[in-house]
Amino acid sequence: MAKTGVPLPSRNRLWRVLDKEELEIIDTAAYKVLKDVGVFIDDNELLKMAEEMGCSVNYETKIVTDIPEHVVREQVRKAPRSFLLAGRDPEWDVEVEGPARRQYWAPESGATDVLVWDEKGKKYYRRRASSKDTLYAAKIVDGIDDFDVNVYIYDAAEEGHQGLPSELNKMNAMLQGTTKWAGHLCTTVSTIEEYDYVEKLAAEVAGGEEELRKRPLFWTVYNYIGTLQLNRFNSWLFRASVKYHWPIMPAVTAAAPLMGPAMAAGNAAISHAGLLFMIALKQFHDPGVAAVPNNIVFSLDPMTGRGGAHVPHFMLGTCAMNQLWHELYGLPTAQYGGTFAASLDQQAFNLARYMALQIISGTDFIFEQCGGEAFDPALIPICAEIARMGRTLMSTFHQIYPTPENLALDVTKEVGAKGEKWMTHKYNLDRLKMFPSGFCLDTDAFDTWLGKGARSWVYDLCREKLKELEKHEPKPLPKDVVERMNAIVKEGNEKLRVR
Amino acid sequence: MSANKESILKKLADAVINFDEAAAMAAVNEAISGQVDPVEAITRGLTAGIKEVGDKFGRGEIPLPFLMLAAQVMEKAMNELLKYVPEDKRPEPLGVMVLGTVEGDIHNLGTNIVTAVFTAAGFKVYNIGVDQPVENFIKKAEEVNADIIGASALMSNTLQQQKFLGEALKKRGLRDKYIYMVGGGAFPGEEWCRECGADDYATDVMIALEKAKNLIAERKKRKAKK
Repeated sequence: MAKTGVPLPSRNRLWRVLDKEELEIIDTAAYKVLKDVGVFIDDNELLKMAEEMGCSVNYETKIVTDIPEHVVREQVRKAPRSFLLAGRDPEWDVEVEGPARRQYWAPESGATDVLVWDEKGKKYYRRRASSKDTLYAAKIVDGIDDFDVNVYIYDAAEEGHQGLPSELNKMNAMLQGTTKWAGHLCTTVSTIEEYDYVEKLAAEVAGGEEELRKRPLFWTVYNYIGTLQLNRFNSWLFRASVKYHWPIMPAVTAAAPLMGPAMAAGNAAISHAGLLFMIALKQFHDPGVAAVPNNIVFSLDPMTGRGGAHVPHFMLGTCAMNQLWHELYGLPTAQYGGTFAASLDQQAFNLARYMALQIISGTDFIFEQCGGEAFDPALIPICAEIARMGRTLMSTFHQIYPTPENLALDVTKEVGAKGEKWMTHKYNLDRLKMFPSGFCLDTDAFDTWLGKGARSWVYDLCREKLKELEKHEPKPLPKDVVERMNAIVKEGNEKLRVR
Repeated sequence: MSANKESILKKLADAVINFDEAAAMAAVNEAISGQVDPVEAITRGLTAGIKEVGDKFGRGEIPLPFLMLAAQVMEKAMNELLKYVPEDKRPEPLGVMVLGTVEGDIHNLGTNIVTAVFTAAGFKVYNIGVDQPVENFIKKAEEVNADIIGASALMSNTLQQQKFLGEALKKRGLRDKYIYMVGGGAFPGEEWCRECGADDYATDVMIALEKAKNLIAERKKRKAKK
């Protein structure tokens, strides 16, 4: 039996931002957006696929409108509520059994650079990330049980810069670096044929293409570019996902207030529209394959134009959209918790406050997105600490239910007013596991902390913890499988190299 | 007349500061009918206004949308005034820039911000749009006799187009003809700038503006020495 995911309390205990009627209003608004505003798609093949679904397509402007509501509703219904995302090791399988049943955690970044801390010089420098860094981070995440799945931290940016197929190299590193479900396959600028190689690669790990279909090792991720634009790279990936029946996680980021409506409701409607369209299109052309919506009701800082100002807009919008997908469509959701700050401490702060709302609103897949372009691996223990907090909260939620057992009035009477025997009473001893230690929190008394040099949690303790985490090695793939995988990557690198 | 002129110039500046298009056009008409020199109306009226807006934005006192609106008002008013200025008497822009987002990338928020801020600062900016192949940057730069070519990329997997543009400029013997600047939300930093063969980079519009001004000034000095 898989050990992934933290069971959530029943949905009525989760934080609900809107009532049902309000959710339906946003849902209806999204269909209006699909009808009257539409989606821009920079790919003729995908435009044809939209036309086949019954949309109006203007091939000159590349805008798809009149996306029919009844068709979308009918298609989205085909997206499965229960599905499997497979780990290399079945113990790490993700067995989704409906929305808001279990919560899954992973850190996520997609950074193109590694941020390296020079301990001697006491400063940072950055260097371009390669698939070796993808592998390095994957191994660390693989060894942390607080993470259920493994999503890439580092992009194979170096390979990309050399004109090599970066996603192929990245997925090779991920599949070798973890026994957990290997996360996101993303867009490439190479060529659509790159995905043929990724399929071959993953099939080696799964034990064949049929087996890969039953036990998908990753899903494909699309990002609309503000407001509702799909560039051709997203289109290639979508077409590949249909060809190979890969699950999808579409994401929409109309970024308020500079590239989307300033109010969370309007932005949520746009985000919802984009996801409805993609999920419907996927189900129309590839019915019954898992689709997990990721509403990023995003905001940019109007003072700078950059992301990362975690205003209520973002937090409210994403939580409301969790609710909408759970309650109106019965689908699980994914969320990124973005933080674009540079310093570790500010990122930790942003992540913690944002994740708190994701936890209590029942996001199914929580991706702690951080690092921006350059990721300091000390963020991994920071993310693990936050994941532990979330896991503990949800897994011990039941302790607040006022059952006779939880109230323990008979024990209270027995122990009496002075309360001295609580510490060693069997009732409490049996429940001590509900008070777990943090992942790497500093629990020293003040004087001790001062005496040890008043160390910073993020900069000192998390970095120390990282050294320990780096020692983990995942269960390796069989040698012959690795050889075949590397051969596939080698061939892909040779045949698909651009310029 | 002088007091009236000063009053009109202040109205032009205030209209830009308050991003009030109607007030700006009314002040333009007043300037024309009051026989205020249109070049002076631009430089001492509109430009004074946009400078104040730009300074406030640089200090973090006003948000981006206000800067964009002010720049739009300025551009409209300036274009109206320029109708009354013979070609050979028009104020020289600080520099001429060709700006775009590289091939494969359809992000344009950053380039729109740069266009607004640079235009407001006195540059002539030709924004060629998104998803632009290397060739289009060079073609436009040649056409308008640009000083600067600016290439933006916001996606990590389109960054290499910035390097291709640098290589293309070098290959055609045009590298020294243009100042080449790079930037964008995913910009990896100084080392990448060097790899692209660019003169400089920025991920913040105000820093980009300062760098552009300095690069242009240095170029003028070098030309003057020759």
